[in-house]
Amino acid sequence: MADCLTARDLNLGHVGRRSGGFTLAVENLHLDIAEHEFVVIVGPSGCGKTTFLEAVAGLVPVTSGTLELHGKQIKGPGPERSLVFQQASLYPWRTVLSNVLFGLQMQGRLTAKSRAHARDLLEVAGLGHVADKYPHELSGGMRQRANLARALATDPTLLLLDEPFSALDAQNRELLQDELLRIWQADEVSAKKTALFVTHDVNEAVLLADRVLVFSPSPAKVALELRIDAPRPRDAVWRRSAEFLAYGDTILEQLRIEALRHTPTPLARTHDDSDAPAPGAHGEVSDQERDDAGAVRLGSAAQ
Amino acid sequence: MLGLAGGLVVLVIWQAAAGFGLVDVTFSSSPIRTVRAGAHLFATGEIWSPLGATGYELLWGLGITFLLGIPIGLVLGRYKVLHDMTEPIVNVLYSVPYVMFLPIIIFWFGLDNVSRVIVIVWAGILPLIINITAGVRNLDTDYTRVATVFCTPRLKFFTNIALPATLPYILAGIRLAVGRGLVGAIVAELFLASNGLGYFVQNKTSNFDVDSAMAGIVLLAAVALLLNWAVRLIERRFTHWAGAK
Repeated sequence: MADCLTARDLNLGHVGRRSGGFTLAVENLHLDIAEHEFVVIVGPSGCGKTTFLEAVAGLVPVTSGTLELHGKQIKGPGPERSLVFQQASLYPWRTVLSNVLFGLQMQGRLTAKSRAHARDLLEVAGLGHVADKYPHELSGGMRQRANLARALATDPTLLLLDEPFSALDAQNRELLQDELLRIWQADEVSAKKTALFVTHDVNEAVLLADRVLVFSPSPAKVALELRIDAPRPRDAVWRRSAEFLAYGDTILEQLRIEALRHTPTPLARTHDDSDAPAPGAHGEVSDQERDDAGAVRLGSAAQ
Repeated sequence: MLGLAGGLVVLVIWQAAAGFGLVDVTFSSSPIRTVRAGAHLFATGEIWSPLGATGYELLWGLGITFLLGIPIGLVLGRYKVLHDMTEPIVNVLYSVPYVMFLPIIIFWFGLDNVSRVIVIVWAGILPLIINITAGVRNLDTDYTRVATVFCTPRLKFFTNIALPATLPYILAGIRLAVGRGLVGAIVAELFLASNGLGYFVQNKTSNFDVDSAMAGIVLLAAVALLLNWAVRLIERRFTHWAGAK
């Protein structure tokens, strides 16, 4: 299959707001994403996975290296890419329908046909009955559906998702994950899209992905690549299967190894003291612990 | 309701003071005499000319204030270099009482309508610009990120995001601009007019017709309340989403 997205020797970073120093968030990253593939990047908070996603979206400039979409270097945002934001980020003065039409309107592609497509998307996302309501009248889950519908309305070839369900409660999250799979598979108006999904939730990764990429703590590299061989459509049975849990364990194990490797003195790790061995490392380690704890808790709940 | 009662108490005391001869009605008028004078002014049609003149100035003055002030505020808020360059000037112009510039404005633009409209714009536009600039600078970063991802062109950013997102600030600025613009209009008329409500009140007072002067003031208050009410109506209609994010 042809490659949709390619990264070679990719370096990304940002200038610290207070220090003014340059921090590398992604170092020498190599990865390929095939057409129509659903790739999930898992990593601890602050590992650089979101920075990578934002670079693909064109929000963060490439420091050095190659980041190509269909063979063309990414230099900024483009209509062939859409981002589903972590916060719903809907415009409060626009109705739900008008929010979903936003991208088309900005790109001057608002036609009767694209409008009908957006209407269909709202129906598929279960928002048909609230099309004329305002975002503040919606629940958190519904706002995220609108966020997703807005991204799909411009009919992108590459759909980027930045932890879109992390702010939802556990029940809503499961519901939305299933919805996302359903929408991604059932979007008849346009072909199945390439999707790049970033999360720190291991179960979410195994549920959604064709392929999971585990990122190491900052600066990010691909620590493990895991192909999830499970037929679609995936359902609740798959979510509870032994295979599913085994995949999850493999990822968790890798995250643990990475965390240990990036801790200068592993034995002192149980102590949450303020004398961190190296500046920066302390915060990342505690993030790692929090993530692992959260993921393990979810894992045991699924059993 | 309480505000209405308070106003009523003042009117009653005023009327009583005038009725018992505590104050001389020649100088202080009374509510009843004011109402009678007002009715007379409308009956003879004497009031229409000054009212029309003031309304005409306000229409032009505030119209220009909004047409210039809103885009200037939006642009200054969006581009940091422009904002940093103009901020001291705007602050100085806002802090110095514009009345100081009246003689110069008269010197430059003469004694007719142009000068009065300029005074109104001068009085009203600065608080409007300052308010809108602050609003754009406080724009939610989520709004701009969404706009960037969906490739929003620069002009569409202003009309589709900056303008609606800062509408609460714009309307607050408009309320300030209307208030200050009204003061500007009256001050300009006191200084340099042969017509308008300000001139009318001054003229009547110099002729010891305090009843008519008071009626003019009441009319002016009514105009101010009307303008304020109109802005509040627009606020309620278009910013219902604000605060309920």
